[in-house]
Formats: sequence, structure tokens, C-alpha cells
Amino acid sequence: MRWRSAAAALMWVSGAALALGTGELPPDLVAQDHNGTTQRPQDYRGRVLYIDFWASWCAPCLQELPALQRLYAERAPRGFAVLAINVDTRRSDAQRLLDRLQLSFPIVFDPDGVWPERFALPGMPTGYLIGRNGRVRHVQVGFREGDLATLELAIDQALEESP
Amino acid sequence: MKRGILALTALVWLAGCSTQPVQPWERGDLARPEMAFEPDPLLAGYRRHVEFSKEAATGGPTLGGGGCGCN
Amino acid sequence: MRVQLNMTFRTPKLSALTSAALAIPGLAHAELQTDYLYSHYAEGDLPAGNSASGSASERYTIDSHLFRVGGNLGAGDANLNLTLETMSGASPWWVQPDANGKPVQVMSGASIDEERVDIEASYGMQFGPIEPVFKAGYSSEEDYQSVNVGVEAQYTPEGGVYSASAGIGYSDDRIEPTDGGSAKYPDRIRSADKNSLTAYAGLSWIIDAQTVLQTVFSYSLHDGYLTDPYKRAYFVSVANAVPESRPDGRQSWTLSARWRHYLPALAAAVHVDYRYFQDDWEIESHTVDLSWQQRLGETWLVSPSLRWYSQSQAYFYAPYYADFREDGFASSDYRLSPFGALSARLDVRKSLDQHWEVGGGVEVYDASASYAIRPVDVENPGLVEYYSVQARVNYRF
Repeated sequence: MRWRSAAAALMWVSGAALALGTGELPPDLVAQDHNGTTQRPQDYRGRVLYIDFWASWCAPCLQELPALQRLYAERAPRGFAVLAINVDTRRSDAQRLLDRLQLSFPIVFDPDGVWPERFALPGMPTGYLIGRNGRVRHVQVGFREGDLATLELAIDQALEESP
Repeated sequence: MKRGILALTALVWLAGCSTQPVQPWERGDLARPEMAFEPDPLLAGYRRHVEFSKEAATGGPTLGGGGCGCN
Repeated sequence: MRVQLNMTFRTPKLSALTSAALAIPGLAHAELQTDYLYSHYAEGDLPAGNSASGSASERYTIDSHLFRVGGNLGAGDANLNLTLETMSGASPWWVQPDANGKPVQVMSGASIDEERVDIEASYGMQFGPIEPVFKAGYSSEEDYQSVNVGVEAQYTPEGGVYSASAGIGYSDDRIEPTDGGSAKYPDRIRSADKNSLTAYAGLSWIIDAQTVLQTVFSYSLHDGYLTDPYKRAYFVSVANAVPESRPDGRQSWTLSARWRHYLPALAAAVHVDYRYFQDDWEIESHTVDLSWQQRLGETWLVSPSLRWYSQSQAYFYAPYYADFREDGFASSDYRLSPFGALSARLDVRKSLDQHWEVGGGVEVYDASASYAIRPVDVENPGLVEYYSVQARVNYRF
């Protein structure tokens, strides 16, 4: 614990926050999604939630989002939810992509980067798989060929656990 | 002497603050294709090839390919 | 008489490591992309006043077709470039003094007609933060063959603000000049070899959310027959032009910087490139390339650019010689002469839909002693000016 706070102090000096890791609770944040519904990660407790950070300029994100849509459509009845945080500074850039992709999970527009700052995002895209107990189970940094299978497995394992 | 070191330390510290690292989610402008070091490799490669055959200086930020007997 | 050989080695053809990388995930590769570029290149006539014959002389034209296919293959990205070129025209042969001692150019007599085929392949992979790219290429003309291999790698720490890159390449070339050793050209060599080793290392940084900078140091070692077997040098003492001769080794160094800055309010990017070059033939050179990349609407990209180049002469160069040098070297090639060059370009690209993109470009290039960074005493009469026009079409699957 001592070491940890020392590391945190060091990171603060160097300008970086400590990244969110497995077993931890996600920051308590509240925002309105694109439908005006209030979104708060804590409210998903009891379900499996995937918080995905994306941007229109992030090419791997463009491959990840349709894959997430498929996972979401297949597993929503079993308690799987997706919350996508868009970090584009111009909303029109994000909207153009959304028009094309037809995603059915909630999108939060965060042009000021409040959420990624609090999560201390290590890269783009980054996704946090949060178990039914509300704790981070898996952090997906980047998205490459082959990552989908890993993610799918992690989601299924999380879904099988009781809250 | 001591004051000098202190001032220097403060300066370095301040410089560190002013050059906050650009976070991964703040790189939208940098990710634009026209911001690449070489946005158009095909055309750039062609033009380098022409310049190579007209000028003495060659080489630079990319690896040399083979030679050619081009004019 | 065929193509004049440039005795330096080809500058890089691009490859995968040209992006800013730096963990910027905007530059992922398309699943499959095909590009076609056509270019017509034409040199201006040699002016009558610079010509030994007293009349203007036609120079070179080149038509180039470039094809590129790139995409995912296995665990990596493969890239294949094919270039087909047809060249025709006359090129500078030697320089001699006119009645007043002013250097004038003698052009190769016959018209040259030639073809060049160039194929380059690369394969890039990713192992965590390290991205190696393997390259191989082959270029063939009737009088020239070249084989090259290389490997490059880039290291980008996760979420980091810098990337380090390095590469090393080797090229093995063979020259078999047309009519070498024939009754017509008994003093022209039959064949010769040369090889070159090139290495570079550099760093790229994210300066701020709109600015990136790259600096690269490179080194090249050329070994073997670096003389142009077609060119001759004129000696007043014997009132004759004899085959030129250059050292059989050459080392060169470059220091380059590439700066990119985005202007969100204008939807434009500014590019500034600089290269300093130096070699042990005592040539020193500066190149500055300024480019403006303007987005217009969603689909247009218009980029004007301006390039300035300057070089000093090789230590053994002279437009013509009073007498033989002690070291035996001599070359009147304008490419080893002191000069500068200015070129202006305009490139336009327009994407038609998700798949198709078309484009075109034009360039005007003018070499002159007056553009050189230092005053030039005697301008080589063979300095080139050219224009080139491009048309292209790209398809992304």
C-alpha cells in the first residue's frame, strides 16, 4: 500500500495517473448518453458491463465496434451490457461513423476527455470488462486480429459467474 | 550555487509541467492521414526516385532500396 | 548509347515505417488496398546557348506506371510495388569549352529507348511494441540489374510519446553498358559491379496534440564501380574526351528532420522537412521541403508544396579539365557539379466513395547555379529542368 502511494505520487509528478487494473472498481462517473439516459457504471452491478473508449480517428476502433455490436446482440439477454465512450472532440466526426455502424448500445459523448482521464486510459481503444460484482475483470488495450476471441471468452466467463 | 541548483530544478519541474504528455485519447489530430510523416508513399517514392537520379545527395529517414541505371 | 547511369544509389522507396506511429491508432491498414499511379516526365530542351552543336537538343522523357497492392497476410501486412518505365531521349555525354572557353554540352547522339522493371516487396509484423518490416527488391534494365534486401524496425512504448526506428539495407548492383568494349566504344567497360550498405536510426516525438517531430541520422557506404560508364570528360591538353573516372568508394551521412503540425481551424497540416547531406567526395547538400495539406470538405485533399535543394561539387569534378589530375579522377556530370534546384508541386486527391479515390499532380523542377546556397563560379551547361504530371486511382476493399 505504501509502495503504491509512492508510485502514485511519482506518477503524479510525471503527469500520468495510475491506470485502472483488474480487481479494482471503476471510477464513479455519471453522464448522459446519446438518448439522454443517465449512465453510471455502478448502476450495472449484477450484470456484465463492457466500457469501451473509442474515437472516429482510431482505426482499430472501427473494427472493434461492429464486433462489440455482435457480442452485445448475442449476449444482452444473458446480462451483457456495453457502454461506449466516444472521445472525439468534434461530435460530427463521431456521428458520421455512428450513422454508418448502427450500434444499439448506449453512447456517451465525452469531447473533454473526463472519463478517459479518470480511467487513466493507457491506449486507444481501451475496453474494461466489469464483472457482476462491479469490479474490473479484464482490460483490453488496443484491438488486433485475435483479440476478439480472447475478449469473447472473458465475457462468457464473466457471464457464467453469479453476482 | 545552491540557489542556482534550486532555480534549475524549479525550471526543469516547470518545463515538465508545461509539456504535459499528450494522452492517448487526445491524438485525434495527430492520427489524421495528412499528418503522417509520409502521407502518400507511392507518390513520394516516385519523386524521390526522380530526385535521386538528378542530384548527388541521397538517403534520409527511410531505408535505401536497390540502385538503378536510371537517368 | 543508352541511359546515363547515376552512380549514386537509389533513395528509399517508402515503406511501412513512414507513419508517425507513436501509438496513434489512426493509421491501421486497410484489409486490401490497391493503388495505380501514372506519371509522365519530360525534361526541357538543352538550350542552344549551352549546346556544343549550337542548336537546342531534346532530352529525356519517361512514362512510369506504378502499381501497389497492400493488405493483411497471415499475421502481418504485405506490400507489393511494381514499377514499369519506358524512357527515351538523349542525355549529356561530355562538356567541352567553346571558342571562348565557355563550357558547352555535348549530348549523346542516338536516341535512347529503354525500359525498366522494378519490383519491391515488404512484410511487416508486430510483436507488442516492436514492429519489424522485411524488404526485398529487384530492378532490371537492359544494362543494369539491382537486388536489394533490408530490415527496418520501430519501437513504440504503450501509450508513449515517442517512437524509435532503425533500419539496415544492402544492395548489389551490376552494370553491363550497351556496346561496352565494342569496336565503336572500345574504351567503354563491358561490365562492373558495385554494392551499397545503408543504415539509419531515428526518433519521433509527440510535441503536443497537434505537432510531431522526427529526426533521423543515416549512413551509406558505396563500394565498387561508381563511375558512369557512358559519360566522358574533356581534357584541353589532349583536346579530347575520355571516359570519366570516379573513386571506387563513397561514404555519406545525412541528418534529417520532419515536422508536422495540424491547424484545426483551417483543417490543414503543415509539413516541414529538412535534410543535411555530406559525403567523402566533399559534396555537402541542403534540402528543404515545405508542404501544405489542405482538406476541403470531406473528400478533397489539396497539397501544394515547394522544395529547395542545394549541393556543392565533388572534389574531382570540373566542367572540363586543362590537364589530367594526379589522382586520375575526372567527371563533368552535372549531378556532381555545384548547383541548386527549386521545384513546385500541386497534388490533388478526391475520394469518390468508401472504396474509390482519384487524384492528380503536377511538378515543375528547375536546376540552376543561382539557386545554390554558395556562389557558383561556372555553371554546368547540362543542368536539368523538367515537369511531370501524374494521374492516379486507388481502391480500398
